[in-house]
This record gives sequence, C-alpha cells and structure tokens, in this order.
Amino acid sequence: MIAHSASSHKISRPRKGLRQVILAGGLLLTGAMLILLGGCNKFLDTRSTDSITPENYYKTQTDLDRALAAVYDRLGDRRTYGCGLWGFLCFSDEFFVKNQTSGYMANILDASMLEMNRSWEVLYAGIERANMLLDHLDGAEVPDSVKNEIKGQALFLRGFYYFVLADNWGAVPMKLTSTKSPLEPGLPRTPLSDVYAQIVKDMKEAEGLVKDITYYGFNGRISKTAVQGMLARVFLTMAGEPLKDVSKYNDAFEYAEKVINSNKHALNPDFSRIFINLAENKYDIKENIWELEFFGNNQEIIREGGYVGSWMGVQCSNVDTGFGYDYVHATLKLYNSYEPGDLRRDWTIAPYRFLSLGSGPQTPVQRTYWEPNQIYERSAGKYRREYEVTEPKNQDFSCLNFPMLRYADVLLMYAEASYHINGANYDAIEAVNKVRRRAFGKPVDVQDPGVDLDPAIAGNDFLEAIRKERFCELSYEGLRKHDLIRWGIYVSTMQQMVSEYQATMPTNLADAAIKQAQRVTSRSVLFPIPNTEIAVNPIPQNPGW
Amino acid sequence: MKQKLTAVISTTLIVVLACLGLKAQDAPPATASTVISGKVTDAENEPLEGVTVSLKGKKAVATTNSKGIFNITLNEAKGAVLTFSMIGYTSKDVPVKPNTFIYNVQLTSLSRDLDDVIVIGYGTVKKKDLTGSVGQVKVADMQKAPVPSYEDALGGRVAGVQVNAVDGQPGEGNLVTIRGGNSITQSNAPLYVIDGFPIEAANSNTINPNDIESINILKDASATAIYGARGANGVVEITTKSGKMGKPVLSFDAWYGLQKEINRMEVMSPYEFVKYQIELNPTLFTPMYLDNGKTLESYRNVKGVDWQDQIFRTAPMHSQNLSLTGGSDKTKYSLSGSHLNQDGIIINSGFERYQSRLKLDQTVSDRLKVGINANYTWLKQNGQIATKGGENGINASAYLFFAAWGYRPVTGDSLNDLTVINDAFDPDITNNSDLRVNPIISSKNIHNVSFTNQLTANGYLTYKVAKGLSLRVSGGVVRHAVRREVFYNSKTAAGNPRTVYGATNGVNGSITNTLMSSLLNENTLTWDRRFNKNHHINAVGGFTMQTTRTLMDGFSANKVPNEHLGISGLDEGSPLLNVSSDSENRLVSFLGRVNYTLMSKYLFTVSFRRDGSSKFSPENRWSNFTSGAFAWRIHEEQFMKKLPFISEAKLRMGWGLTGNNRVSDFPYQSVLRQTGFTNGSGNTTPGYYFNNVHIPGSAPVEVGNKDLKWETTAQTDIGLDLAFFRNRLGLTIDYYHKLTDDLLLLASLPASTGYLSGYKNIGKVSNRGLEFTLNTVNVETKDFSWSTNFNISFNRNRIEELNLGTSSMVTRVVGWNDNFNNSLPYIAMPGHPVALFLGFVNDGLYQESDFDILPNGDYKLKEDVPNNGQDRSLIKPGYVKYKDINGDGVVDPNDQTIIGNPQPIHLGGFTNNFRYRNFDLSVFFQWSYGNDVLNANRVVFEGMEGKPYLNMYKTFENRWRPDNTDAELPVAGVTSPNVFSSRVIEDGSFIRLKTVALGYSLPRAITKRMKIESLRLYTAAQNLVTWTNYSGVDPEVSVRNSPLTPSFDWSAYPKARTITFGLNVTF
Repeated sequence: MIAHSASSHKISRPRKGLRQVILAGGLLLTGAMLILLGGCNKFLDTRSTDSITPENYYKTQTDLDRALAAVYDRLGDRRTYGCGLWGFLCFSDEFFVKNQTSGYMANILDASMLEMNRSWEVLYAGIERANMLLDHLDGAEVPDSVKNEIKGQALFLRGFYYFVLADNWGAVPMKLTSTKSPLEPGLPRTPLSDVYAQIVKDMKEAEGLVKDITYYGFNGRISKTAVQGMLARVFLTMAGEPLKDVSKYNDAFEYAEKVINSNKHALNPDFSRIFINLAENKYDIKENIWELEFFGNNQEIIREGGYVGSWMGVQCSNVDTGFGYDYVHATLKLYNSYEPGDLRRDWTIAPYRFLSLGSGPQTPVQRTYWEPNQIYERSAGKYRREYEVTEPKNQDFSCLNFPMLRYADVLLMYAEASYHINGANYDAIEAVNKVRRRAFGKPVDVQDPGVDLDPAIAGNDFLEAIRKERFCELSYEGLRKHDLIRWGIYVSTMQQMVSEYQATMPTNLADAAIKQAQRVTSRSVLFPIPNTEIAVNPIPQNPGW
Repeated sequence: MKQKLTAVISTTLIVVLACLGLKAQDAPPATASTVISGKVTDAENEPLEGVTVSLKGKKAVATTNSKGIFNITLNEAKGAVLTFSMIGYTSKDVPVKPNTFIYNVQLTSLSRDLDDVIVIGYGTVKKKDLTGSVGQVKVADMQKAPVPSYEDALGGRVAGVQVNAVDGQPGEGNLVTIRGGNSITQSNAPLYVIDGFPIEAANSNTINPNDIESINILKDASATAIYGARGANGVVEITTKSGKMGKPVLSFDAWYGLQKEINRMEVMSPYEFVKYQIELNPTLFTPMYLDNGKTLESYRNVKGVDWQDQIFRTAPMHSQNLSLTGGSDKTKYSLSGSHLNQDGIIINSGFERYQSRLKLDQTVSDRLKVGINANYTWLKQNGQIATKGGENGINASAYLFFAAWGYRPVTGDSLNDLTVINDAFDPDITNNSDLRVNPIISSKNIHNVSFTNQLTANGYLTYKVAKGLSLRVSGGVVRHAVRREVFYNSKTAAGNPRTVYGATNGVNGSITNTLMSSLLNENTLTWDRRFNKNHHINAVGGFTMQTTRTLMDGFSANKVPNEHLGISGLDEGSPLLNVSSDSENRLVSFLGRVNYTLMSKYLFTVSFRRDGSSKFSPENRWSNFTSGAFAWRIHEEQFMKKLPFISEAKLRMGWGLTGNNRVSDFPYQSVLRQTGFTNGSGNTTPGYYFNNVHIPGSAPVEVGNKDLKWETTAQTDIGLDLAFFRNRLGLTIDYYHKLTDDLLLLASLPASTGYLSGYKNIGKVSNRGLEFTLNTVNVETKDFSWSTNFNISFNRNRIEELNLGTSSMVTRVVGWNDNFNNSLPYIAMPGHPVALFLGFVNDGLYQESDFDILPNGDYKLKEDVPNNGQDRSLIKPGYVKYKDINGDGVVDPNDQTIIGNPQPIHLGGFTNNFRYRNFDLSVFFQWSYGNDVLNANRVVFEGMEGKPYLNMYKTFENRWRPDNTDAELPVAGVTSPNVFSSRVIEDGSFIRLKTVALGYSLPRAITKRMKIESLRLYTAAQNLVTWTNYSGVDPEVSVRNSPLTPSFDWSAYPKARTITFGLNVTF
C-alpha cells in the first residue's frame, strides 16, 4: 500500500515539483535581484561614524585652528624639539652625555637608529599636516583674513620642517601636496638648492600673511618677525656649508635687519631671566621671537610636556624640586670660552647640583656647589626646573618652553651676515656688543670699553669673535652643531674635542665622552637617510652611511 | 527493482513473524528449543552478510545470509544473550526477551565515518560523496580528556591544521592556521562557522567543549569557496549537539583536576648568585655580602628565597556539566549547562566560565520545520598577563618573569631576606627606571580582569516547497561584550611612586567595554533530486546578509585617592583618556553550489559566491569566487571488484578562488584624529598650547586607499582517499598549492609621504604542502580493540613578491626590552618563508690570546681580530664574538645573516585508542619538527644584561672566568651590542605526550541495578611529557604572535601539566 502510493507520487509529482521549483526559484531570484539592484549597495553604504575624514573637515574656524594646532604639534615630539633636536641628535662641543656608551645617547648612529628614524617620520608628518591644511584651505567657510593668517603659519611651518630636514639630511624628498593614496610612488631626493628655494618661497609668502607679534602678545605663534628672523637663519645656512651660496649673506642681512628695524624686539637686560621665564610660563616677546610651548606635567589627559630641564638640566633626583637626569654635562671648552665676569657662564653651566640625602625620588635634596676644578662634572644649567611652576612636577616632562629664535641670535646673525658683506663694521660690532654688554650685566645700549669688542677688530678676528659669542650666548639651544656644520668645522672641531677630553677630563668620565666625540667623522655632517625610508623608497644614501 | 521486491517481501515476512510472535503471547513458555530469527543491517539499513550470531557463553552459532537474515536455535531462551559480531563493525549484545523471536539488529561500522554526514557550508554531505578536502576532528577522542576550550585539544588532530598557543595564560586563545599563512600583515585565522553562523574573530572559550557534536575543517578551495571573501584562511565548521529522538537522556559530567607547571627555569643558588655579584661589581657587593666575617662559603647552604616557588602553585580546575537531550519524532530538544573554574598555576590568575545552551527543533508540518539554538556564556579571566609589561611595557624589567627569575635570592643580611619577600620593591635598587617589583606582591595586587558576556541566538525555518526542494531561512545574532578592568594600586610597579609611571600617575586604572554585535540573515534554497539510479543532483542557491558592529567605550583615571576601593574608586581619581568608538561593516552575498553525482562514481561540485563588502570603496566592493571539483570513486568501478581488499579508493581534484577581507572597516577612507593615545612616551596628542591655552589638534593619521580590493587565494588540491580491508585501514593523502595574490598588506610607506603604513594590494605568497592521515583498526575483538590515527603535514610557505619589488622587509620586536629597539630579528624576503630569524652568528668568546696587553695592564684587541659590533676598546677577554661574515674586519649590521627558521618542516599527531572490556584508554602524541624559537629570555638571563642585584639562569654558572676559558657564556659584567645572535636561536622541535585518558564504564549489570543508563569514570592527563632540546620552559610559545614575528619567547606564562579525574553518568 505504502509502496504503491509512493510510486504513484513519483509519477505525478515531478512536473508539479518542477513548476514549484521554477516558481520558488524565480521568486527568490527576483527578490534577490531587486535587493541586489536597489538595496544591496545601499545596505553596503556604511558611513564611518567614528572618525572624521578630510573631505568633511576644514570648514569652520575651529576646524582650521585644530588642523593648525596639529601642524605645530610635531615640533614638540621627543625626537624633534621635545628633546632630540637640541639633545641626543645634536652632539657638539658644548656637551657630552655622561657615561653613555651604548645606543643613541652615546651618539651611536646608523640608518636603523629608531630615534633618528622617528625624527624623520615626525618632520614629514608635520609636513603632511601642513599640506593637508593648505590643500583644503580654499574650501573653508571663513573670511579671507582668517584663511590668510592660518595659511601664513602653515606655510612657514612647512618651510621650517623642510629646513630642519635639509639641514640634517641634505637633499630630501619634497612634497608640497597631501598624500592621496598609499599607492603614490616614492619621491626622489630633491636637489638641496631646490629644497632651499622652496623653503625661502614658503617663508617669504608666509611673511606677508602672518600677524605681528604684538598682535598676539605672546611668542608661541608664528609672527612676522619670527618668519623674518628664521629667514635670516635659512639664508645664513644657505651661504655656508654645504650649499655655499654666498650671495645669500645679503638676504640674511636684509632679513635680520628687518627684525631689528621692526622695533618690536630688544634684549632682556637679565640673561638668566630669559630662561626663568620659560619655566614660569611667562612670555618675553621682546627677547624671544619664537618659543616652542610646552605645558603641564603629563599627568592629566592632555600631555604636552617636554624634556626641557629633565633630559638636559641640573642634576637632581627629587621630582618635587625638579628632576634632572645626570645626562648632559658641560665641556671645559665651553666653560673656558666665557671671559671673567661673564654672567652667562654660571647660568649656562650649573655650578651646583642637587645632592640626594638618601635614595629614591621623594628623598630631600640639597643644593651642593661643585669644587672650582670640577668642570666636566657640571650639568647644563640653562633650563632650571627649580623655577618650574607646574605642580606637581613630573620626573620626565616639564612645562619649560624652548627658545626657537631669540633676538640675541638675530643680532649675532646680523653681525655675521654684515661681516661677510662688508667686513667688520660699526653696526655689526655694535650688534655683537649689545649681546656682550648684557652678558656682563651692563646696560645694553651704553658703550662700555670694559666689555665691548675692540672697535678696530677686523677680518678673521671679528668672525672668530662672532663665533665665540654665538657659542657663549646660544649654547644648549640646538644651534651649535648646526653652526659648526655651516662653518664647515664640525668634524674637525669634534676631533679636537677628542684630544681635549683625553688631556683634560677625569678618567671616570672620559671614556664615554671620547667615544661620543670620536663617532663624529666626515659622514656626520649629514644623518643617514633612515633605512625605513630607503626600504620602500630606494633613494640614494648619504655619503659614508 | 528485484532487490526492492525482495526487501519488501522479507520485511513483510518479518512483520508477519513478529505478529505471530505477539499472537503467541498466550502460548505456554517454550520449554524446549526456541527458534530466533531476524535481520542484521548496517547504519544505512543495507543487509549485512556474514555476521556471526552467537549465544553468549554457549555454543550455538549462526551466520547471516546475503539478505542479512539469520536463524538460530536456542535450547534455553531464558537469560540468553545473543552476540552479533563482524569484522569492521562494533559487536553488539542483545538479551533475549521472553516471547520475542524476531531480533532486527543494526550494527555500526567501526570506520563508519564514510557514512558520516559532514556539515559543509550551507548543507551537508556524506563523507563518501565529498569532493573537497575536509578534515574531521575526532571529537570523541578530544572529549576523552577534558580541557577548558576545544582549541586546547585541537593541535595535532587534523593534518594541515597548526595550532599554536601563545603561552599558558588561562583563557588565552590559540592561533589556528590552516595550510600555512597566506597573509603577511593581516590575520591568518580561519573563519569560524558555529552552527551556521560565520564569525571572523571567534572566542573559542565561549563554547562548552562538551556541547560539540562535530568539528570539520574545510581546507581546500572547493570546500571553502562557498564562503567566498572570508574563506581563504580555511573554515572551521563547528556543530553543537542536537536533540535526538528517543527517551530523555540526562547526562552529568564532572571532573576535577590539578595543574602544575611542566617546567621551570633553574636559576642560580644563593651561593652562585653571591659569587656572580661579587665578580660583577666587587666594590659594591663585597661589603654588602661579605661583611661581619662572612665568606662566600657562608652562602653555600643558604636556602634563600625561591621566587618561582612563591609564584607558582598547584592549581585546581574543575567543571560540571549537565545536559538533557531527547525528543519525539516532531520535537527534539537539547539543553545544557556548565560551569568551569580554572585557577592558574601562577597566583592570582584564573579563568571561569558559566554557560548554557538550548536547542529546539520542531516539525510543524510535513513541510515546515523550525528551530532555535541559543547559547549564553559568561567568562571571567583574571591575573597579570605574563607576556605584557603593563603600562611600563617598554622595559624588560616590567615583565613578570623578569622579577620571578631575576629577583635576588639573598640580600646579604639574613634578617633582611624576609623584608625582601614582604616589600614591594628591593630596597637596594634606587634606579627608578628599573621596574622590577616583587613578583609575589605585584601578582597579588594587580587587578586585571576581563568579563565576557556572549549571547548567541539563531533561529531557522525550513520549508519543503516541493519534493526535493526546500527553502531555509535563518537569522541570528551574536552579542559579544567584554568589560576589562585594570587597577594598579600602590603595591604594583605601575601604581607605586618608585617607578616613573607610578610617580606620574599614582594609583591608576581603567575600564574598557567592547561590544561586538553581529546580525545575520541567510536564505537558501536546496534542491536535491535523484533521476533514476545514475544521476543525483544537489543544488543550493542563496542570499545572505551580515552586519557586524563594534562599539568601544571606556575611561581611565590616575591619582586615585582611595586605593582600597579598587576599581570602583576610579571615579575619585583624575580622569584621563576617555574612549568612545563605533564602527561597522556589512557583507551581502549570493551563493550557489551544485553537486552532481553520476553513477555513484563520478562526483562534480561547482560553487560560486558573489560577495559585496562595505570594507571597500563602491567601485571595488563586489567580487566573485568560484570553485570546481571532481572526485572519482574508483572502487565503484567494475575492475576494482577484483581487488576486494580495497574498500574505498577515491581521487579528488579541486581548484578554486577564495578571498580575504580582514582589514579595518574603512580602509578606503583617510582619517583625521583628534585624540591621541597616551603611551607614556610623551607628546602623542595632536594638539598644542598657545599662550598656555590648549587647542586640540586634528591630524591626518591614516591615508585611505580607494583602489583597495579583495585579496585572492587560488588553491589547487589533489587528494586520494584509500581504505582497505573493510575500512579497517584508511589513508588520506592531499597535495595542495595555494597562491595568494593582491595581498591585503599593511604596507610600509616611505615616511616622506607623511604616513608610516597604508593598505595596499601588494605581494604574493604561496603555500605548498602534503598531508597524510592514516586511520587503522588494529585489533577488534569482543573484549579488546585498538585503533590508531596518525597524521602528518608538511607545508612550505614562500613569499613570491613583496611591496613594490622590495627585496626584504625587516621587523623589530618593540616593547619587550627598550635596549633592543634597534635590533631587527625578523626578515621577510621573496623566495623564503614569511618570517626568518635575522642576526649575528655566534662565534664563541674572545680569549686572552686575542689581545695585546698594554703596559698599564689593559687589554687591547689585536688589529687582525674583528670587533663584535661595539667599540674595539670596550672589548675584553670573555666577551661575545660574532662572525665577521663579509670578512672586512669589522662586525657591523652587514654581518647579519639568516640564523633560523620558525616554520616547522612537519607537524602532526598520533592517537591510539584501546578498549579492553569496560576499560578505554586513549594516548595522544603531538609534535612539531624543524622549527626554531628565539629565546629572548636567555638574552637577559645569561649575563648580557649585567644589572646589579639581578639573578641569572643556572646556565650562567658556566661563564667565562680566567680559570674557565672554555665557557660558553661570557664573563660577568660583559657589555655587548644589543643584537640577537644564533646563540639564542634554538631548535623548537618537540614531541609531546599530550593526552592520556583512561576510562572505565561500569558493567551494564551494575548500572542497571543502580537504575542508570551508564556510568563512566575516567582520569586524564594533559601535557604529560615533552621531549625537546629547547632550553626554555616550553618550545610551543609565541608571545609576539603575528605572521611577521612568530616564535618569540619572552616572559611566557608556562603551560601546565594537568591531571583530571571525572565521572560521566547518563540517566
């Protein structure tokens, strides 16, 4: 019975079944097609609800302010001016790092060195942030005056980032628009003169767009005189090694003069006050034309502290007093370059350290002066955390601002450029004298034969006097290595340091310092192109690396 | 037709006989001989010929005829038991009941897996009809020895499946790779399909291993192509137990186990330690250790503190599992609940799970069937993560085992030794960048707990549209919520002002919530028809949609004032970074597959899937994945009948394309970010202070790739399934070749673009391999049986092409030890496996003969002796020497070479199952051969980091001294460049006696008296013995696991040896 009914089904069902198959299949297919044509793509159109994209940003004033803040931000990274570019990436005759025999703190450098790689990465990230902002600025819904102010700062910062790159790595890949896709091919190295031409172009354009420093009343923003002063530095660099375009002394002179003639700046009568202000979060817009701002103690949600005063500062093991690692020590050469009575010496080189009365970061410390013959034992003292106003303090991070461009530097650049154009002359000598008078605690504008340079100083003597003045005035401001390189004497100077250390240094310090100086060889005028760059963008390496 | 007729007639006959039997009820009991008859069939109801039917303990013997019919005459029917036996089948005892004369018996094949129904994507197929390569996990073997997660027992079970444990942290997942990794920078984890629900990032801990009915591993493209864009890494199909028709079966399973570390590192004794410290720094340590007339010998018998003793414990683990299954022909149900609690072998670490599952299938009508399947799991995982340095992770001293091995055993002042145990920090260590913290106190005080709540619910409906045609509509949801709590009080490194982090943040902590929710809808139409005897078509077509949304939120706070409140006191601290994120991806697919069988001999499969993913830009969204396979069941051919010992011979060939879309949800979009992640290294937020006022920044952080598309893997598979002697010996051989093209590569970009990496379709990787699986039934008698499973697989992984013709890609291991940040121990090169070890070749030690002695007594390295990467003047006798490979007299990065290969040559497993009467025994070995491991522990603990107060491995006793110049290890206080050398690359080959499980089932007679169905008592041991030359704790380790940085050993949580006792009762 069962078998029978089953077989009868077999005979009658297939056609009906087939029809149903076709019907159901058709329905499903039609449904699917409908969804495919209409719904599917809509279904797949997810929107990123979590992050903003460049296309829907850069519209309002707030958008632009934030985008610009991000461009500034890269200046404060630990591998740029947070530490590296005045610290472990610029070994010179002004310091050695105590007892460091391995790693980047011992000036051991090659193309794989992580900190150097990161420095390169950070600078290009700054450039990309500037490019991204500049690319989108036209579409912003803000008045032109706002656009211009922002454009000026972004252009300057892009130029400045390229300046740091060109100064340290030479001919670097240059990119003036934002990256649109990871598929963009790597860029070749742009000839050094072209990089500098672009830096000058960006900065000159910025000069016409940015505001005066008095408009802001503080020096953390790029102002007209900051651009002009930095252009003087750029031109002076172009005039020296390796580009040696001596015609640029005229431009350097012109731009330094612009700053001086702006009458917006003057020397602070008290040298130490400049640096105490940095720790007290006070601005001195007369002396400091451009300052890098750090703030806070990195214990809160916003972390914008720097290593100024901790990595390089007075040795101190107590955090509340102001922790200073025992890293950066002064050289005898620097100490001896100050003439008797020069007040800068015992500020720039700390004559004391804070000795711990026990162990651990909470133990009280006592200010203890060094013996007169203990010079190499002394820490760099320009940035003193004992004046830091942040409470509570942090071991590593401080609120101390970093001076990017001081009026004293402008005066000395003016003198140097002027000398190269006209030889020693009254204005140039007077510019140096102003710096000197302040150093000896004298009124800046009153001639003082006791401290002034010999009015008859001439030729190479004047140049040497300027160089020495820069050494004394601008030590620990990230400029010494840069100066030595553009003067073409970096390698020879460091080789001299080797013998000087050998001759004058206590044995317990000498080993590490000698090695650090010895590591400066002919190739050291440029950093190697990071191997992470070369691995994916096969551009030629710098000589010797 | 004739056959059918016979079947009908014989069935009728049996029915008639049965009726006669019933009718005979009233007849007086048989006093003389009784004739008993019946039919013996196999699982498919096919008659079995040649089955021996014997009367237990008596002589009477009969054999079944070609129709499976037997007749046997019994003299005394009362209490008699009939035994049915045949080679290749499980014997069966059937008690003779009074007045019953017909006994129809079904025997199950020993290697019945040929008839197993295998769950493949969107359907099932009998194993014999498979065309693709599908590995079946013998779940019964796995379940013999209890483990917290099925993945813990998966390694070595299936050829071609590599399971790597990161380490032994309780609740830590395993890394499963099928047939070698395709991807260089993205995940190589397979797609998990759990009861039909595909999940890319499955947490194996959420499944109760006891619930698992089957695990099938789809390996080749013809099997996985139906999963299209997600199938390239292979698919793990897990099916949980469903209810079965029959009376309710209540089953209770409970076990209790003890775990103990397999191995620990031997460190120097107090005597050896003091001797070493004095060699290291006599000025510091002589007064400390040898004051008051003490000599080195005074330490000879000092016990000191054994820190490993203090942090390790014998840890209990137990589990209870209750399940109820049953059903009628219309309703089937399965309910289960389980609890597992595992204490870790390190104090204050552990894992706990509560889980329950409900499965219900209801036949509504002839055409309609519906069902639901819901699982809820609660997990808790706690303890300091040994492989993570916590908030201070950049420094080696922040890791648990740095302290556990390195904390000093004696202080020199015996009274003080106690203080050392009770103090959170070693009082003599004043350098606050040394993050060493008392491992006992920190382990006890770190609060690192994550709670997982996972709800999975699926429902389905099948509707029989017509004969052979059915529609299945299913929907499901997975909600996976994880809450992670971290709290560092003042007795931990990250919360105590002794460390920089602690000084900065004070007592601190964080709470992070992650919610992943995935919704799925699948609609398939299956058509299954047989056209006369020779054609069988099974076709499936469907449409699916899935969305996966990930939400994350959390906050952290520091300077928490009332630490005794723990995590609940976080709100009183000062708020730090708040996290809030939301992301989603969607997938739409059309799929189809046709299986066609011709004359039961020739099998064809064609599959197709079209996937649309929201992860790519609208232009590149859609992609097609196709596959085809052919199988030839050779043994069905007439000519094979002459070889009756071959019971199966099947040749399989398949080819197909599969994809991989394991990228972030919006890789085609460029992203600006306003918040940063504070990682302790300073300025990482993109904002800036102007005039002492903060302006947050918006910075481009990711560059999108609008051209990004699917990664495609083309795989060819040729396989042979052979079985001999009525399936007593089965052999499966597979050869495969995979070529993955357009790799989804998180490619390094030139930093000059402003970005470090971006997604590109660049590069090619191939994997070729051979897999062998052998199953044998060695002995099969009534009382004793022995069967064996052996599998071995060989995989050769090779990069065919890298990013834009890049010649190599080197990778750092950042975060384990900041001194080694500039070392690049891994290299990926075309023509070689994805990761190889790169480093210097160890060349022994400098001896005095390598030096000139200067007048002042200093050593000066001879001019012709190369340095070791550091300054020549620093090198002294007993320092490590590296080979100057290019012979330029200077050892520098150019002298690095390949020093090891983390890929195994072969790996596999070997299982033996024995049964003797009521005892069963399973013995399982697992091995891996030819793989190297980078033992970074030895870098630190064999003298290279001569930190004061830090103990070393015992092996460092054999260090260079002027009177021990043959030593292998360098002199105390050696300085060396921070590089990896061949000295720390070790052979990580091992063979492990992974599981031994012994069970005893109570005889039927006793269980009957106890009124229970069955009772099995068992004991099992895991990780019993490991044979290896690896000097570290365990060769199966990979603490920085990614395709580019495998097999790195640093501060790993040791694996435990576990012994469990359990019982299983069914009612």
